[in-house]
Amino acid sequence: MKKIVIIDDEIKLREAIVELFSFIGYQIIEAHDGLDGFDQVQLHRPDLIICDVMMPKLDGYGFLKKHLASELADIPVVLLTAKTEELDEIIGKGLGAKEYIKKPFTFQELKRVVEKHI
Amino acid sequence: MPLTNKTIKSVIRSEKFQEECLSIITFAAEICEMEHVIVSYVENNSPFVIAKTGIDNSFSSEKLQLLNTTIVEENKPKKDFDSEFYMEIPIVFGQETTKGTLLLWDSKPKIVSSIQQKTIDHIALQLQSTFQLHLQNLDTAQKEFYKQILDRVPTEIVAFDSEHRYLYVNPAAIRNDELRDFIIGKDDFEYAIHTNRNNQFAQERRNRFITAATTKSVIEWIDEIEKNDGTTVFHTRKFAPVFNELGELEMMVGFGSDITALKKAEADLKISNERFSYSSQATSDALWDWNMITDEIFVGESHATLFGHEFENNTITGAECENFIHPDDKEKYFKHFKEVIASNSKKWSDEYRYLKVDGSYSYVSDKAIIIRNEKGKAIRMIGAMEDITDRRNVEEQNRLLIEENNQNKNIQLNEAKNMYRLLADNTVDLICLHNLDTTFEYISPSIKKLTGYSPEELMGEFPMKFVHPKDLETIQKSYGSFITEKEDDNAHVEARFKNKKGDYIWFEIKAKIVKEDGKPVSFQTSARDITQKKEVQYAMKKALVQERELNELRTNLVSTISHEFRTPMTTIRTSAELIEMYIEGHNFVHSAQLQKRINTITEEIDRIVELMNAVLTISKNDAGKTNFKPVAFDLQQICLGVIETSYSHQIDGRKVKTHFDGDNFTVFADKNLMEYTLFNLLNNAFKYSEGSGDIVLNLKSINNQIEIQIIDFGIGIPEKDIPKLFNTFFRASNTEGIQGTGLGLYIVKTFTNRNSGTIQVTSELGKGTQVSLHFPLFKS
Repeated sequence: MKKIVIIDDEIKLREAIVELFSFIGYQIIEAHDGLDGFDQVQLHRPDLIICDVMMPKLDGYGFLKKHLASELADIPVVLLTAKTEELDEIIGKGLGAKEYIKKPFTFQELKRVVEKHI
Repeated sequence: MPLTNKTIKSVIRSEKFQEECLSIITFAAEICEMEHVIVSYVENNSPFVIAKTGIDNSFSSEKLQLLNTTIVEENKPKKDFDSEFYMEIPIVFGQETTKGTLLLWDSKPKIVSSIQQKTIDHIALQLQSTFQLHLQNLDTAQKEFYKQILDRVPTEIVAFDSEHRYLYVNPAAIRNDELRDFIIGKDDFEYAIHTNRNNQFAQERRNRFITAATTKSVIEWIDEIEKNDGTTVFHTRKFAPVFNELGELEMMVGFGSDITALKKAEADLKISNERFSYSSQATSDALWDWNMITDEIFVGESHATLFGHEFENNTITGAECENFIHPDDKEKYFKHFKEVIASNSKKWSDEYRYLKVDGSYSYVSDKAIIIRNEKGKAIRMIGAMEDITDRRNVEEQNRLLIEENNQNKNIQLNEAKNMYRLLADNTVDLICLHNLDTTFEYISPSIKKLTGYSPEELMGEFPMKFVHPKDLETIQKSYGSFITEKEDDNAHVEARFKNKKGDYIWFEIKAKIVKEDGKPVSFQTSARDITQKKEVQYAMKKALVQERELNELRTNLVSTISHEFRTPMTTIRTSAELIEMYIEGHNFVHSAQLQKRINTITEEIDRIVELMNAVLTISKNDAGKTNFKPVAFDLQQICLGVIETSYSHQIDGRKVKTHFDGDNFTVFADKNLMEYTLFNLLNNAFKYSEGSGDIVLNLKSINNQIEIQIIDFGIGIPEKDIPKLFNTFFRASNTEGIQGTGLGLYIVKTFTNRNSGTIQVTSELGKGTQVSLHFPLFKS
C-alpha cells in the first residue's frame, strides 16, 4: 500500500483528503503544520507528500526547503495553495515542488497529480 | 312644353321661320308662275303677314288687310276681289284656333294645272310642318336650357309626384348616373332596398312629405348622415308642395344642400370660443378678442376681476374701450397703435394706465397678435392685459433709489480713487532689486503686507537668511546657475520664506539680471505669494494618495477574502466528491436526488470561484496591479494557441473555424491579457450557441489594422441589452439558465483598451453574435 503524508492545518480539508485517498486504497499519515509534517515524513518515509502552503509554525515553502535539504529529498512534494498569482507558482516550482495545485481543486485533479508522481 | 299663344307667336315672329316661309313661297311662286304669294296668320283678329312675294304696287296693304280678314273669318275665296286669278288655302298653325292662310293671286287669268294644284297643297303642308319643326326646336332648346341649369346648380333638386315617387333628380342630389336613372318612378323605400340601407330615413321623409302636403306649407329640416368612411355630413332639406288649380297636390319639389363645412366652421368657432373662455378663465390676465370689422371686443372673465368693469355679453366696442385709457397716456398710446397697425407687424404691445371701475388706474402691460387679411389689413386682434401696477411701483421705487445713488456717486468715485491707490500699493507682487551679493537694494512696499517687515527693516539684508532650510539648497543652486549663466537667463524658483511672525510663506520667485554696458550690476526679483496654491496642491496630492491607498486596501481585501474562501471551498468540494464516491454503486431510494444535490454543490462552488476570480482580476486592474508587459508578437500564433489549448476537444464536437486574411499579424500588447480576452470571448461564443454549429474566428490585417472577429450562431443578444454589455454584473435578459458572472466582457473591454484595442459587438436575437476587436498593426 502506497503511503502519503498530508500536511495541512485545515483539519476538515485534511480529513476529506484523507478519506478520499483511504477510499481508493492509500495509507495516509496526517500532519498539521510544516514542522509536524517534516517529522512525519522522516518517521514514515512516504511515497509522496501533499503539503499546504499557508500554515503556522512552518509554511509550505519552509517545509519544502527543509525537506529538499534532507535525506528524503527524493520524495515528491505536491503543494496545495489558495494563492493564485503566477509568482507563487514560480516560487513553488523553483523551490522544487513537483506540482502545484490551486484551491479549490477537484479530487480528480489531485488524484491525477498524485498518481503521476507516485 | 305646353303649346300656348305665346309660344306660337314667338315661333311665327322669329326671323328664321319667316325666312324659311319666304323661301318656300318663292319656290311656289316660281313653280305656279304666280305674281303674288303671301303667308299670313291672324292675331287678335288682325291678319299678320309672315312672308310675301311679288311686286304689285297696286295691291295696297289696306286691301290686303281687308282681304285677309275675310279669308280668315269666312274661310273661303272672295269673289269680288280685284284680280283675274285668286286662290287661298287655310293653314293650321299649332292649335286649330290659330289660323293662317297661303294666298296666291295674279292680275292675269290663269288655269292651274293639277300638278300645280298639288304643289300648292304641298307648299301649305310644308309651311305647317316648318312651323311644327320650329316649335319643336324651341321646345328642345328650352328643355336643354333648363336641364343645363338644373344639372349645374349645386343645390340638390328633386321632384316627386303626388305619390312621393321621384319624377326628377338632379346630379347634385345623386351623383351616380346609374342610381339617378334607377330612382325615377320609385320611392325612398325602394331606394333604401336598392342601396341596402335602413329604411328609417325613407319613413322620416314620408312623414315629412305628408306633413308638407297636408299643411300645404314648405317644411325644412337638417339631415345628419353618417358615411361609410365614418365621417358625418349635414344636409339642409326643404319640401315645397305644388298644387294645381283644383287645390290637389300636383307634385312636391325638394331642395337640399350640403352644409357640412358650415357646420364644421360653426363647431370650430364654438370650440375656439370655448377655448378662449377656458383660457381666459385659466389666466389672471384679461384676454380680449377684437373683431376690427364689426368693432366688437370680446373680453375674458378676468377683465371684470382685474378692473371691475362688467359688460353685456362680455362685449364692448373699441371706442368705449378707449375711454378707459388714462388721458395722459392716450397720445402716446394712439401714436404707437396707429404705427403698428399701418405697418405689417403681427404683434403689438404697450404699457399704459387703465381705468378701474372704482376710479383708480392700474398699470397694464397689453400684448396682442394682429390678424391681417390677404391685403394686409388688420381685421382682428387677440390680446392679453396684465396688471403690472405692483411691478411699476417697485420700478418707481428703484428709480428713486437710483437717483439717490447717483447723488452719492461723485463722493464714491473719489473714495474709489483713493482705494485703488491703496490696493495697488498693497496687492502687487513683491518687487525687489538685489546687489550681486543678493542683499536687498530696493524692496517694494508690498513686503509689509506679505511678510510683516517694512522695506526699511530688510534693506541691506541677505534674503537667504529668511529661506526655509529645506529650500535653501534649491534656491542657492538656482541662484548660482542664474548669476553665472549667460545673458537673458531668467530664473524661476519656488521657496518658503519666514515672515516676521515666524511662519513660512511660499513664494514663486522670478529673477532677471540687470546689466549696464553688458555687465551684470544687479538683479531684480519679483515674488508672488503662492501659499494658498501650495496648500491646495498639497491637499490634492494627499487626497490622491489616500485614494490610492484606499484602492490598494480594497484590492488587498478582495485578494485576502478570495484566498480565505478557497480553502473552505475546497473542503466543501472534496466532501461532495467523497459523498459521491460513497454512494457510487449503491442503490438508495433517493440516489438520483442525492446525486443531483451533489452536482448542485460542485456547480455552485465553481460559480463562486469564477466570480471570485473575476472580481479579483478587476480589483487588481483598478489598483494598477495587473501585470502589463507589452511586447510585439504574432496574434495569429496566440489565436491558434488558445484554440488548440482550450477548444480543440469540445465534448459536443464543435470547433473553431479560422480564416486568416493578410500576412502580418504583429501587435504590440500584453500576451496574457490578450489570451485572457480571446479565451473569454471564445468561451462566450461556445456558451451561448449550444447546438448551433461551429464558432468562426476571422483574423484580418488590413490598412495597418488587425481585426479579430469571433462569430457564433447562437441565441444572440436583445438589441436593448447591447449598450449595457460592458457594464459590471450585467447579463443579457436572455441568458437565464446559462452560467456567468456578468464581469467577463467588462474585463475583456478593459484589457482590450489597455492593449490599445477597441471592441464592438453586433448581434441579432436568435441568429448569433459577432464580436470584433481592432488592434493597430505593429511595425518594427
